[in-house]
Amino acid sequence: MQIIIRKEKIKTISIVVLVFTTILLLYFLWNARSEKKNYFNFNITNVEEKEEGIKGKDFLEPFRLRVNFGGNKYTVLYSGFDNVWYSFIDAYRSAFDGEIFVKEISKGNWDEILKGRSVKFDLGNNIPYAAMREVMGINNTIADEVIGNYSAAAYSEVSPDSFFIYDKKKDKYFMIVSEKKQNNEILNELDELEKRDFDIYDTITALFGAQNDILIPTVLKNNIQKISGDQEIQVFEQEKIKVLAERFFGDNFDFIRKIEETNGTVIYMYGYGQKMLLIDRKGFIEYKEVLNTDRYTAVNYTDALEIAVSFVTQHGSWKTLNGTNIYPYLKESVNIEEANRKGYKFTFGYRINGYPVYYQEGEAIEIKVVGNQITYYKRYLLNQKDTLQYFSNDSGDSTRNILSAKNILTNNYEYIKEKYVQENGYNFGNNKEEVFNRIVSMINMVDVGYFSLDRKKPDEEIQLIPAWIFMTDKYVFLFNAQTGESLGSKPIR
Amino acid sequence: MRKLITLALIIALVCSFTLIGYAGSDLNIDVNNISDKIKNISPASIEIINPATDIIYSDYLLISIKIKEQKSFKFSLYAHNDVNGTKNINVYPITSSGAIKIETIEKNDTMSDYTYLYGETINTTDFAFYTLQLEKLVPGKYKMSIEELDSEGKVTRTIYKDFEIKDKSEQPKEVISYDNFNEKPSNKLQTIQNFIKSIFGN
Repeated sequence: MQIIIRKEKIKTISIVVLVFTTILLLYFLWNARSEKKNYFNFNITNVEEKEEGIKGKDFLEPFRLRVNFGGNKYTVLYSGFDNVWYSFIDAYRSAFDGEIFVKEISKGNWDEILKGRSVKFDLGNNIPYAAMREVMGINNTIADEVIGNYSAAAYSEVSPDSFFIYDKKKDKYFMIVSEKKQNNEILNELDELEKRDFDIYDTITALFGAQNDILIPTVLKNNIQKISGDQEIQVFEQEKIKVLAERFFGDNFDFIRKIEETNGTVIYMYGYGQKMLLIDRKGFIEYKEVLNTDRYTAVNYTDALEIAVSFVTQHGSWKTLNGTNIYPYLKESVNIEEANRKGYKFTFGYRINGYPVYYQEGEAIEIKVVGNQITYYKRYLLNQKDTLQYFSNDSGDSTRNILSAKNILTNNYEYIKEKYVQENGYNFGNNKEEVFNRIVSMINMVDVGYFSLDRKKPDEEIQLIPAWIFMTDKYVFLFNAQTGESLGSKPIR
Repeated sequence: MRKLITLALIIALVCSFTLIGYAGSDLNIDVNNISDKIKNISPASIEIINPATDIIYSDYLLISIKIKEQKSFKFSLYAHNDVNGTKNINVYPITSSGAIKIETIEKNDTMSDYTYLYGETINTTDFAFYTLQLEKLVPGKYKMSIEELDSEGKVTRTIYKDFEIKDKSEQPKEVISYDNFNEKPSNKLQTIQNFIKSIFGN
């Protein structure tokens, strides 16, 4: 009797194990198959040729290129990579000639493909995938819902028939695989790039041993100099201010009240504040307009960007008011709401001598578009005035080389640590090596640019100091690249 | 009947092992990589961070050495006598506040099979990185040495690192197939865990 009961138990256990195993196997099988449900076909249209003047879609281009030439040789470029980008667009568009599969992949996969010979394009934060798709001339909309935003795009030799997209807002990575064999020019363009003179970058892993594939320019061939700047408008330039104000108020200009405050700020106001323009002593231009909800019509991202770009063109232009080129780029797009109406806020940065300009507070150009109305516009741009020379006491050398990013980190990791300890309650322990490794592992972007130092007195010259910028998940840390001193930090929103 | 149960059990066991193996394959334990790291760990206060491998498929190399206590040492770089065209190699020592160059070593002919290329004597603080960039390297065998010095300048210990430069075109081409891209959650073991959790709860 006991034997029979034991046999029955064994049978029951075996059946449970078998059923369980079958379910698991079916789960994996189903999971693998289900990926192929996402395929779809596309019709290709050509990207329209650029028209004269800056248009919204001109900002839907990468502002930075990360190149892995293979063999641990890397560089980062901020300009001069149009050919690589256009070859990527061509290849990406032609991928949609055949069947394609869209698949979410892991961060580990993304890191892995970038370890091979590859390119990664960084675009302004939170650009909708649909807007990029339209610019690239792809009509099918199915992937719009899957991918969401187009924050970075990559192509790698290790998966030559695929394209990779990162959505920063959702922090998700995707691969788009084409059944059509790729025979593109992207990698050939890399060979061409490698023949050029460029700054070599190294990974934090190669430099310090801590696991982090973020790149650091170990040596900068061009020496970035401290320069003096000049605000684009002064409160005493009455004629210039009047001409600018007329652009904002147009035909209503005769009905505008002008207020001059004791601190020098000039304010133009229409009605009871429906429209207001402010020019302050520091050279800030700020415009506000109350939303007219009756005239609200919803617009999509691309149209909103076009409205914003066109507004800037007409109200101050994409140069400084003195006519100096500023080389603007789209930094961020954010969805906003005003009076329950949907809109967008666009933030633009700009470059001087090829280097991005960072401010202690605020951005170069901020603009809000709700429906087809501009409700907020702020600009603060600087002209380059002079290159400020350093005179070394001992050698008489008229220039001063900037410190390497490596030195800035080895000298300042304790400062970064303290910020995290004091404001976020982090515990790093006391082992110097471990603390350093943790700090450098947290860095997710390294940049070099100009930092505009706020003036202590109104008649002081504006100084644009060469700065190293280190970004972590919570802060942007800025350091004087010539002295190594901290220039402060900004929390990341 | 007994045979049938035994067969069922065998199938179940085989399937389980397959699944465990499938899940474990994602743990990415690379035995070669581990042995590489062990080779590179120098005892005491000096650690060679880069090159992390013995073969480099590039004409560029970053040399990075971590120093964990106040030290003086001589760094020297050599190319094997068979290597041609070493005169064109560019060496960029990276100025560092933690690792200060005392002098450039003009000549160091301590190794008969190797030609001396570059070297310098360095003083460091208690935590520093000594870094060099090498450009236009030509294929062949190279060696670097780090001679630790005492207060009187005598060599107390020497660390050697051999590496070989190969042409980029010789690098084995690695291709990741579509199936090897993990869907999130990326770890298959994690996927199984999540699946089990979804059935039995946490």
